[in-house]
This record gives sequence, C-alpha cells and structure tokens, in this order.
Amino acid sequence: MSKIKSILVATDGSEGAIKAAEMAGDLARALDASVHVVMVQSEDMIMPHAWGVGDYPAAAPYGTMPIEEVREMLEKRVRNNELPETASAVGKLDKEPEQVVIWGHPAKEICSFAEENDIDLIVIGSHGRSKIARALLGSVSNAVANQAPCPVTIVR
Amino acid sequence: MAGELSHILVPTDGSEQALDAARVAGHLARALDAKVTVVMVHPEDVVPALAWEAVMEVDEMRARVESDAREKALPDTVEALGKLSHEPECFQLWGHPAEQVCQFAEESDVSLIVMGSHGRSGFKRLILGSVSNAVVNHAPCAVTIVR
Repeated sequence: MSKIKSILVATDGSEGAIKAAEMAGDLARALDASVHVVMVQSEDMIMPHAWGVGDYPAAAPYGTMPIEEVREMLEKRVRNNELPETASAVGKLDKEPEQVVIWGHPAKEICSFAEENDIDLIVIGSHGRSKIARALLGSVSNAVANQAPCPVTIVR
Repeated sequence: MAGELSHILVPTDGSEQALDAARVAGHLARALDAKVTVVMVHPEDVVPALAWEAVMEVDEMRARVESDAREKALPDTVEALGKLSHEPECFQLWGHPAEQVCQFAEESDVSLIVMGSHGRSGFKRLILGSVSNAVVNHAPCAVTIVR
C-alpha cells in the first residue's frame, strides 16, 4: 500500500461538503498530504441561466445571455464562493489547497480527476445540495464510492 | 475536529480486500495516533447448514467458526495493520454483518470505519459489495472504502 500524500475534497458548497472538508484537513495535517478542492459544475445549469431562469441576477427575467458568458459567470461565482469556503473549512496547511472547477458529470469528473492527478484519497460528504434527504447516500457520493480509482471517505 | 478521529474500526472477513483495507487503516491510525478495533461478524444463518454438513452440533460449529477466525482471519488482519502505538483490540460478533458493524461503531464511539469495497462473496459484478454498501448507508460515522 502506498502512502496517502494527495487528498481530493469534492465540494458543492453544501453543509455536507464543508464537514467533509474539515475532516480532509485533519487527515491532510496528520498525513502531511496536499489537498485539492474540486467542484464539478453540471453543464445542465448553463441553458436555464442563459434563458434567464437561473438564480443569478445578471440573467435577469426574460433576459438572455450568451452561453460563454453564462459559463464564465457561473465559474466566477464558484471561484468566489464555494471553492474558497470549502478551502477555508480545510483549515491551515503547509501548502494552500489547490482550487479546481471542472464542467461535466460530477461523479465521472471527480473520478477522472483523481485518476489523472494521482489522488490517493477522495473525501466527500454523504449528501450534497440535492434536497432528496430520504436518500441514504447522495447520488454523486454513491457513484464516486462505486467508481473511484482510490479509497473514498464518506463523511456524514 | 482533530481529536475526534481517535478510534478506527476495521471490519474484516479475512479476505484479501479486508487486508488491503487494514493496511490503509494502519497507515491512517499511525498518522492520527488513533486506536484500532478489528471486528469480524459471523452471519448467524449459515451455522445450522455448516453444522449439518459437518455432522456437528450447532454450538460446536459456532465454537469452531470462532476458533478458526482467531487462528487465521483476525491475526492476518492485525498483521496487515502493521505496527501501532496502541495494541489493536479484536472482537467477534454474530448477526447481520452490516447491522452489527454499524451498531458496534455507534456503541464504541468509532470515528472512522475503514473497510474493503468487497468481501468474500463472489459477486464481482457488484460494484460495491452488499455489506460495504449497507455500512456506507447506515454508519453513524465516516466510512473509508478501500478498493
């Protein structure tokens, strides 16, 4: 077994993700590991925002926005909110956590990022933003636990 | 939060996957200076059939299942943990594996369960074994799945 030197925290800015980040920080400090904070944005969010039905004021009601602009706007929002919030929950590390935004299918992108970046451990909350609280395990966490190339810690 | 990761539970069935999980658990326990407990749950329902097959009393069969575990699966798992500052404790429980693991975790203030993605069962097509899946879903604490 190789040592755990690189930890990925998957975030969507939810309370579950923040708890996962706190635990990832504890593990990283104990293991002297580096941390990547990764947020995957679903492409599905782009069109509703472009058509002005998103929750961002810039895409005003009935307004339309070019898709590239929506993408940039959403990415900027993640870089200003979810990513720094999660990184600060990780806490103090020798090396600041790297903050990454990826577009695509959340579980798939988390697993391929882990594979490509030699991640040794993925830490993820048991539930994300989705309101389906009756689900025992959120769909993204479930898919990551099933398909990850490395150990996965599910935090609840 | 750091102080909370002080007790790691390693459910084992003696399989190769469980030993891999124990190696990861040992690595984490050394880094966190955490205590490790190993549990092996024997499913109750197989005993009468095993006893029947071996022409034995059911109680005798239970005792044999436990002594086999003491001789092989448990020491193998402890060996896979590697050197630890706190001597690991081992327990054998009877019942529904996932249920017993979760209940034990609850009662013993376990902060992290580390287990393999699959156990002994031959259903390789299952992406996550049934016990691991049930533990991930019902555990009172964080769970690390090792594959």
